[in-house]
Amino acid sequence: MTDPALARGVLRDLVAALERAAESRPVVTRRYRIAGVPVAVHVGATGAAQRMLEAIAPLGCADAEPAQLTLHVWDGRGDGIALPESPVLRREDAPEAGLGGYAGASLRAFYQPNAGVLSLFDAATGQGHWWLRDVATTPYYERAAPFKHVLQWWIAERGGALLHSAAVGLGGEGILIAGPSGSGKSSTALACVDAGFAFASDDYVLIDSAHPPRAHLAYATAKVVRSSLERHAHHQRHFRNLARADEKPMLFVHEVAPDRVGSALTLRAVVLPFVAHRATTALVPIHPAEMLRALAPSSVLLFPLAGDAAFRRMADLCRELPCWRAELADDPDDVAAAMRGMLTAAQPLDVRAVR
Amino acid sequence: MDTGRFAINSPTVIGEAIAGEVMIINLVTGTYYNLTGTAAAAWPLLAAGLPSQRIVDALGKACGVEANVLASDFAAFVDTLSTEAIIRAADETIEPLVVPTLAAAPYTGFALHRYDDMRALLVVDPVHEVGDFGWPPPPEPPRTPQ
Repeated sequence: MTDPALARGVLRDLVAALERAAESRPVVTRRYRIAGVPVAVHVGATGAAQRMLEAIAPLGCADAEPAQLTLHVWDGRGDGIALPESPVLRREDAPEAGLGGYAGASLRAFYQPNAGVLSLFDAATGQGHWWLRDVATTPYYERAAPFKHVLQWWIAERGGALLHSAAVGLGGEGILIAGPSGSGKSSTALACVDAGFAFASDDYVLIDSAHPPRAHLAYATAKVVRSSLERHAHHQRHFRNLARADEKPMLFVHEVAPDRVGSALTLRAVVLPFVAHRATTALVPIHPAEMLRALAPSSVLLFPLAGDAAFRRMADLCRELPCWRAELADDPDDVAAAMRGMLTAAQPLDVRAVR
Repeated sequence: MDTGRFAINSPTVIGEAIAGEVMIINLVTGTYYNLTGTAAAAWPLLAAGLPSQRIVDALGKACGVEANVLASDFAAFVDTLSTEAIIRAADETIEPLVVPTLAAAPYTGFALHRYDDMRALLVVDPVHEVGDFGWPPPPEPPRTPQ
């Protein structure tokens, strides 16, 4: 394990070095509204790091309100900023020896040695850094969901959480779709988008501190398993990574449905999809604890430093909202119809009884 | 039986009671757990640092089970939680607490349901693609203290 005092010193020095470098680096400043809050992102003006921001493009705005989160995106190779040589950040050959995560009084850090990604956030200053060893070799899933750790720490400070879930909706109201890859989460979200739903996420969604909670777009990315590509053939020209067998096909939903991405959704239900190959989709009420078991482990373990506060927010959500298991049909139109029925029902319903 | 006090092994372990059950996650190992029934009723008392004997007394009133059976089962439960590093002995001084009156409920024993399907998320590079293993995985049989 890393000595916390050593880690604190190394990370504080690194933050200071990045702040000094930021003063002289030619940057492009992009402004966004993330979960309705002004955010500024500084990215090198000449490097390739700008393309890492495509997933948050629909959240771009022109307002000049002071940013409540300022994030610096670094391309280590392009910007010429290497990490210091330190046992704190040396994990490639000895995963147990270096920094996985660090949580100090206000500073949070998380290092992914294989991906070559270091995330830093100082809650006291509202400043974050997302350092990539080399944009050209950064894994595609980081481009699909950039600086997710910084977003998690930041939203947790505001009483919310970044969940490993999908969210779609109609008329400003939405459903949260929980479950890890392979559960039918992304396919359900895309079926709903194709049926005219608003899109807030297929993989990571921001939940605020409101009651009932609202879901906010974090990334406009949708990734599908290769075996389901045929079902999404009408989006063929939008998918990236098709030539890479080791990567999931991915598209940006604002290219598919630009008018239905980015608005907040007041959540009305949580759904746990299950690929059941049914003729018609069935919705079955489930115990809140069963839903929490589906929702929390991947969300909490992907973001271990968010810990207790994010876990409590997830439990609140499962207590507050009706929880359903969706036993999915193969027909995406039927899946979307079931989700529409859930959102538009005037009364609480047992859809299993009516479908 | 052990008459000591215990505390949740935080910050490594986090737990949350929800609708009569308890979910526990070990952030280091990636293992998570579920408690139901009598075990779930015992959790907030354990987490509050109540001495074991007071917890057993409170559960006995709620469950109406024979005291020696309850005490023995609870001791085994505490041993299991300690072995799993979910709780640790509490050596800090804790203010006296009012033991809440538990609702009457049938005695269900102290099963600890353990799930290991998320541990792969924590291997070497914690943030990566998870596999297409589907959901939910079948739970392991509950570990019931003898």
